[in-house]
Amino acid sequence: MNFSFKKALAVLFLILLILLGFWFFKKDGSDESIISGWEQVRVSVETRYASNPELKKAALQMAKALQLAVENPDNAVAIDVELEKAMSCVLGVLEKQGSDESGVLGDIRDLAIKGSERERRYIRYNARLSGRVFDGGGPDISLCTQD
Amino acid sequence: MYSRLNPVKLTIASSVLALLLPLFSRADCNSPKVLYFANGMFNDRVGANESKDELQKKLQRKYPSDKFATVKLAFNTDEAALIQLHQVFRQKVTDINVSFWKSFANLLQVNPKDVSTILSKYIAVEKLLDVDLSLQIKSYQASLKNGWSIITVAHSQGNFYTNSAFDNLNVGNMTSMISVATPASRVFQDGPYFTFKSDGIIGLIPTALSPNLTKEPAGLFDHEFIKHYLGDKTTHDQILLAVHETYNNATEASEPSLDPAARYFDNDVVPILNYYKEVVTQRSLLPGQCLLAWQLFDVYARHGATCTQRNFAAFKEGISDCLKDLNDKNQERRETNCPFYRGMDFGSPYQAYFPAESHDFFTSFPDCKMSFNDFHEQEGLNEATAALVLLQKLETKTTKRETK
Repeated sequence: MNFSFKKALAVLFLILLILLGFWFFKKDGSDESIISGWEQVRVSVETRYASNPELKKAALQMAKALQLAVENPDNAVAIDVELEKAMSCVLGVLEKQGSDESGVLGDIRDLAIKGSERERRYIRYNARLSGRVFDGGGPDISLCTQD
Repeated sequence: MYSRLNPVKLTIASSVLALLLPLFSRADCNSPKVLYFANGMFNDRVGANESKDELQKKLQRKYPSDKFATVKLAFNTDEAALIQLHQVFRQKVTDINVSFWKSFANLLQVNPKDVSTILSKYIAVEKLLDVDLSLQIKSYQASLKNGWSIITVAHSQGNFYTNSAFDNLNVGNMTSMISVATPASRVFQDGPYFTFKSDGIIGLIPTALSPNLTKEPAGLFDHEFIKHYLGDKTTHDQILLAVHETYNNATEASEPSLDPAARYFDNDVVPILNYYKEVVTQRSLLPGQCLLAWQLFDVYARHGATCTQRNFAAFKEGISDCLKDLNDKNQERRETNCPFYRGMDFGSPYQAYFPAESHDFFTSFPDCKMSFNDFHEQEGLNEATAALVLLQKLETKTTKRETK
């Protein structure tokens, strides 16, 4: 009886741990989940563009910039310099490859800001840029990073 | 900026100038154009960049001869509205794989009543919400200072911001607006507009300009810039044609003016006009600067000429002719393009009062009113050479501006 009680406790504890873990990964309001979300984003982007290594690299550059955006939306003006370069890089790669596909930037964004809290943070990022004028963002492969 | 040079450089400078003149005697009074895209509430930073790029790409393909000096994004968003919409959206759509930014088309279906209320509250109000437009106005002003005219394609709420910015600038002949899916009740200076009868957002706003296009097949939303407006072949062609026509509609100024925006001078003179604006704020001027001002008024007064003849080359010809005359040991007076021989040193009332700006100038700088001999005595050769060098610097500015 005593042994079974201990067993039941252990099972309960295990269930509690699983639930806690599940809650931890489901909740997306904390800074930790925002930052730890990058690994998931990286995998999504790499999977999505696996057949096109050059575009995959450019997409990762853009996803990294968007990761910075959701991590620190109040620093939007500085981060946006990187985002703009990354968008130019993606468009530059598409232009070089003769692709007429539109919506690629939006697809990468959707992979990078997935999650309710990340979306909210991205809305805040956008708000910090409101009223500004941007000169760049057109296709420019020279703005692709080397790493 | 202004420096004195040794006269021994004179001959070299003159020769180089003579060789360069044909290269810069372009004729272009229609100022370069800059294209702005002003996005609406449903475009985030990435989506707005995508819209701008798509518009530019499609224009380049359809009208390759229309060369914009630059293409810019005037970015606007509405945080309060988006936060509320996001809240409604995520209450109904818990699948995080469904993108908030790409699913606006479904918003009205998700929760039509709440969404309509939010949209009516935020998009239908003909006023600026929480967006500070000062940076955009500064950007527009910088373009105008370059002598560029502005064409803005505004989508959705971007129309409110553009109307407001252009009202603020108040330089109608240099700013043109083309409206797409506009919630506003007007387009700046009655510019063209394109709104689908099936646009689910504009349909919510009773004060918006009446929809004027029919989309086949009609959708429930039909509001997005790329997907719906540029995606519809007929509308796509109409929007691009409107930009093309606006691009080619620039006209020459009818009234003489030193304002670069008036296009009375050739576009390559804009750096000189901007330099003049700076110069007249000084307390006193060097004789070489006076010479440049004389030359400016001389070119200004060429009424019979077309704007293309009031160009940079005319400035250079005048100053280099002065250099030749100053270098002439016989001091033989000839009829040349040097402003001294075009009446500037005669001191006639006509010269003093026409153009009106010259009267103001000589009132502020009486020492500038001098004869050829006076000028010659005041290190005229050095001063004229310095004026020429300054012109060459301004010319470099012009070529850089155009290749930017």
